Amino acid sequence: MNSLKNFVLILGTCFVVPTYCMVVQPFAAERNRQTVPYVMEDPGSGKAFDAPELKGLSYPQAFAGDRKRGEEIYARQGCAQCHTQVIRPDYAGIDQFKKGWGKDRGDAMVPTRQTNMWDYMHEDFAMIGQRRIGPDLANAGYRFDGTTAETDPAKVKAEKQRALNDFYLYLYAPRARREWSISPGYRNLFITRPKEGAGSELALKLPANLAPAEGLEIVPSSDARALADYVLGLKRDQPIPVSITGAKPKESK
Amino acid sequence: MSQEDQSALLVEVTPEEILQRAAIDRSTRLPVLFFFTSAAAWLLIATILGIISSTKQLVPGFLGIDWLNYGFSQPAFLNALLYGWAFQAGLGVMIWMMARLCRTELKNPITLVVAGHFWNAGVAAGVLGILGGYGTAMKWLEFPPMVWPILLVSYSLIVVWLVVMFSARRKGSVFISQWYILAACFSFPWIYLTANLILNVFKGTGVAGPAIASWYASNVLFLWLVPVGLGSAYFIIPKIVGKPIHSYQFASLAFWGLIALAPWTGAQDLIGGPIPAWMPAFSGAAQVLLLIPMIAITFNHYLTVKGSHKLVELSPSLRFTFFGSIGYAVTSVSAAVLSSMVMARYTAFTYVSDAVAITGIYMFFSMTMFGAIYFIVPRITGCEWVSGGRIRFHFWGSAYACITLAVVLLAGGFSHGAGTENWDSDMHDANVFSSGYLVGRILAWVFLAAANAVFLHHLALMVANAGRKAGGPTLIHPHAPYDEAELVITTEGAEA
Repeated sequence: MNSLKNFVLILGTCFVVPTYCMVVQPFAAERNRQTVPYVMEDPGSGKAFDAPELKGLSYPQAFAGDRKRGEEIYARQGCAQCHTQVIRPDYAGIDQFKKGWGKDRGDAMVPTRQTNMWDYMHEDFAMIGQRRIGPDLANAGYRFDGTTAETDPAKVKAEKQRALNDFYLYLYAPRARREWSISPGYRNLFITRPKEGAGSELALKLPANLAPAEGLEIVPSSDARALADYVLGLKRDQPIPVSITGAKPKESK
Repeated sequence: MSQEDQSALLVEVTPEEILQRAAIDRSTRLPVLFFFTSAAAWLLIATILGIISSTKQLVPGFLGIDWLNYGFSQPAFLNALLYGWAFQAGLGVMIWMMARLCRTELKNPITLVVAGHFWNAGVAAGVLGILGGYGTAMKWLEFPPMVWPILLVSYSLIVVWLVVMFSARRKGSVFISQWYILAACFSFPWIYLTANLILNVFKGTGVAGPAIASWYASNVLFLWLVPVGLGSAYFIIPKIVGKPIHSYQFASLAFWGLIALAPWTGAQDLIGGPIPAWMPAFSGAAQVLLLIPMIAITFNHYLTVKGSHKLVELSPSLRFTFFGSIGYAVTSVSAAVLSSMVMARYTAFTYVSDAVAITGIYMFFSMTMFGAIYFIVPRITGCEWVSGGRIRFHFWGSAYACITLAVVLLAGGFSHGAGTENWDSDMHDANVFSSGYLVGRILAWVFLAAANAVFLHHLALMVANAGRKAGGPTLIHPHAPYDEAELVITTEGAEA
């Protein structure tokens, strides 16, 4: 094997096969991935069926609003250096049972479902992340949950706004919420400006040591608002269609 | 290739041979010095960014500058270290070794220097882009998307001349270092183009995205850094020890083992993640199998040096290279540890992946490159290194820091993983458990900054032609008179 030609041929073979298997084929599979409609079969037929309230929907639902731009901000600000977005099965880690990583808000241990390929199919690049220095954000939407049992529209709106402001405060000064946090504050995503009238409803309510001078207010920039749309929308717990899980049909009640 | 072929490396040095070598060295002087000096400058920048990012991780308010937040400074540090320092140092060594081993003069040094300027501009744009908030989330590909074509084209413009040199080589037999360097010439454009086309141009990769980025990062490590580092080690060790490689057949087999297995690695970063389960299984298996070529190579190096350990103590090139060879073993073992299913529970997404990156880029590759630089620079500048004491400081500063980094990142990673396993503490326990180790990491980077500042100054003196003009090669220790009889370092120094 002393000729360049043979060397390049063998080298090429060594590269091409793994590149196809580890790169091209998985990429093609993701590009061809389709949303899966929930199926409403009659329980009597013995075929699989999904919950009735999912009728006419597909899994997963597409991103809404400014989430696409929020995803880009998330990548550019280096969030994925410290935050993962993946709930692995129990053989690989405790993710499913970790307190606060799913829908659970209380002290009870509520298992979170694993993330799967469909959960990421609308993303340009799944933000699985490189390190897990901060908490997992696969279900970050529930960390800043603005839903409430109230029915009064004014109260519902106020609760939503409170959750949003919580998020902005955390983004601006993580230690205002948890003094042991080692998350950096992203002050570059906020604007300090003169207060107009009563001030914006988005203005941060900061503790005294961080508050701006009298007559000024700190409001999130459009980048921060897009990021909020994205992070507060991260709820990877949509029901998986039975056609994917292959579960046995449920007994009708 | 047979055992006899490599004797070409160690032929009796005739006066004609010396003239020819001097001519080759002269022809490569400009590009090689260009790459070495810009690499060393990037090394200093990367080291300072390393201090900043490791401090920022522990004290997020450090310096109070938002664009140095860990999310910016960490990728800026790693990419500056990789593309600024490692690639340029590697390119300098590749150019010189290829010219020497092919016994051909470099025909177009100016093209290489121009391409090198573009490479530097690309890296600078990339690092500033990350700090300015235009980076990506892709492992080792964090540069803003506009940078990759610049890097790809300038790299190709450089290595195409190495391939041309190889085709025009003077003698039939080919030494193992040449195969390693050739493999590195081809591997980087292949993986870089593939990864960037898919991740930055086609997009819409979903869960395949992080698997592809991990594949790329692992391949840069095992198909670029490892071949260049080993190519250099296979050249430096026999040269200084003055005897052929212990087993040439082993070296050859290990080479093909590495090339065949390394492209399968990478996806094991995502064990348990939402990718098809066969991917991490295959990658993990390949990563563990890579221990076999590693053992063959490390033993080969060790057995070649065996009996000449006195030289490891005295020769700067050999000492750095030998340490790098140990670093290769440490890298391979920690990469294999990371990819086993049992361990991944405690190591995935922790500092253990940083340990693999840092041992690979620094403890193995950088140390080997320092060895090669201490060997090459006196030959192309025609003067000797100013002082052995500075080299000694550089070596011990780097060696202590490398060992510290490997230990604290591995131990810190396991502690972090164990802390994460506490179900009701969110990330509090993990961060408290690992914080002590992170202090050690900051100290290690401060050590490295001091060592690298000395190295950069020493190199600047050599480039400015202010080196020692008379006397023998600079050794780490001034040799004591009673050593004189047994001390034969024929190939160390500008004359050889």
